Amino acid sequence: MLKSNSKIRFIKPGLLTSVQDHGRFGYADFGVPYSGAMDQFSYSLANLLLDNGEEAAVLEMALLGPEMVFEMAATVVFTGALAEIFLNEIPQPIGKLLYLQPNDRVRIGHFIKGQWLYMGVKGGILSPIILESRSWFEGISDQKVASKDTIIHYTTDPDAAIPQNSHPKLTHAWFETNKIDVYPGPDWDILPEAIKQQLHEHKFTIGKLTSRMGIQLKSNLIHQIPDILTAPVYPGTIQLTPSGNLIVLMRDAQVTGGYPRILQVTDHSLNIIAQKTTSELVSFRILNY
Amino acid sequence: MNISWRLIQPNLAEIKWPNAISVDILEEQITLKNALLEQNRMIIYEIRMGYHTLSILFAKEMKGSELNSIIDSLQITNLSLCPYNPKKWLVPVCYHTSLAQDLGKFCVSKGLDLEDLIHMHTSQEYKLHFYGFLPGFMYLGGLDKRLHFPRKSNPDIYVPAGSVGIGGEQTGIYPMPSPGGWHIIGRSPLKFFDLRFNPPVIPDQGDYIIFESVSVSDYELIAKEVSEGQYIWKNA
Repeated sequence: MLKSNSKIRFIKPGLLTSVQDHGRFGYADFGVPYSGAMDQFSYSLANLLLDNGEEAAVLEMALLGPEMVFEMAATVVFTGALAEIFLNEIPQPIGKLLYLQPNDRVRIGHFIKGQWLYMGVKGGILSPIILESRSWFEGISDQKVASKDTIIHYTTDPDAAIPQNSHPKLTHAWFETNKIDVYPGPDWDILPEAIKQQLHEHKFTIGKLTSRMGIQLKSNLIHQIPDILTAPVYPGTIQLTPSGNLIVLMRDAQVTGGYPRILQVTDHSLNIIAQKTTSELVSFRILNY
Repeated sequence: MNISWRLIQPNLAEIKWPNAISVDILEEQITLKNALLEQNRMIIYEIRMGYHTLSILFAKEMKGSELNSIIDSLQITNLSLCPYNPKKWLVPVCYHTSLAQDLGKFCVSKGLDLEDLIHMHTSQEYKLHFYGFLPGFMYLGGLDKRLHFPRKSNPDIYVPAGSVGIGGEQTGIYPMPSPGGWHIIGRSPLKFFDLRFNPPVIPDQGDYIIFESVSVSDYELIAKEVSEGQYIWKNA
């Protein structure tokens, strides 16, 4: 079968629409963040449903979704957040393979539950590979988020014709839990007992400042702990700021940091916390390791 | 080596040296990193460093005893295997108010003549401890104490690429446009993260950076060579 490339044009780009994949590994030595899909579980699921390779790039969307036109036939699927998805203004569920015909219009409406929505495309999105990844990151790729002029290339799927009667019923139940599994971080030992106690017992509110770099958790952990000498951090590292707030570092986080690294979120829980929205509550289950 | 280590999560370990910024620690870090990669490349995904920390992301889940035996065996036998020869790189910097927004204010606040400032900033050999903060941002050790100056309480929204700044006890170069809280005293025409080349950075961890004062016209000449991909970094 001959594969050809085609284009997605954005009628509206949305707010935080970007191309993401597994991420950019092995370049932290040069100060390059991982990037990659905020919710790696939903990213992988989209590729699995499409029978794509594990490394195929998808479109990541949040809050205010885009409206786009597909130039040629394509098979797409949505995973992650529960959001209103319209194909030529007809509502569609997440998890169902959608067979798009030339000039079909896809519009994302309200986000009902969750923060990040993924659109996988059969054969993958074909933005340039830079340092072994297609993930957009400012300073590495030309773009950070989609704008109105953005054109995204994808693999055309001429077989996108077979109607489908059943599809996996995806839900958002997996990120409903408010328990976030964490390990004690590298600087856990410098915490006073009172702070450790609060981390075990308190609930923390997801703040307004959430981005691909980090999620702020509102807290009032009054402490006198000085900053540390700049040290490695990873997506999932939770830092304690001088004012007593917590920052959960996410996929675009820089590779080193100077705030105490008090907790480290497990890979699975990192996908859960990524899907939490402003003013939701979370608490920690601190695992022994 | 005076180090301690522990697993942070099943595939992530961190090694710690005493709490200090020192060239001796850096040399031990680099030696240990090279030895770790040489002996265990198959199970190591990535190594990251801070001033007195080295973290190892493993490609598999590890047991504490496994980690102990890896590090113990390296400490005993292999540390002389990896010779370490730092290079010295000359980095041209133009210390001129047209290219450095805070240069005038910085001199006034510190009570320094421009000439003194340039002399103090260019007469050190700065050790490259590691890259972090932004792609291509070098954490440099060795700033003259007389140039230490607290960071801005309100960071600037935009600092141009190549800007050379001072923040606290550190000096460094912004490799790309960025918000920043450091006082900008000069600008370098070089690119410190260049995707046209592999690897995208030139100086290695452990190398030295030496700043060299250049005029505005030299700055422009070098910038042109850099944009055409013709510039070759110079060693001291």
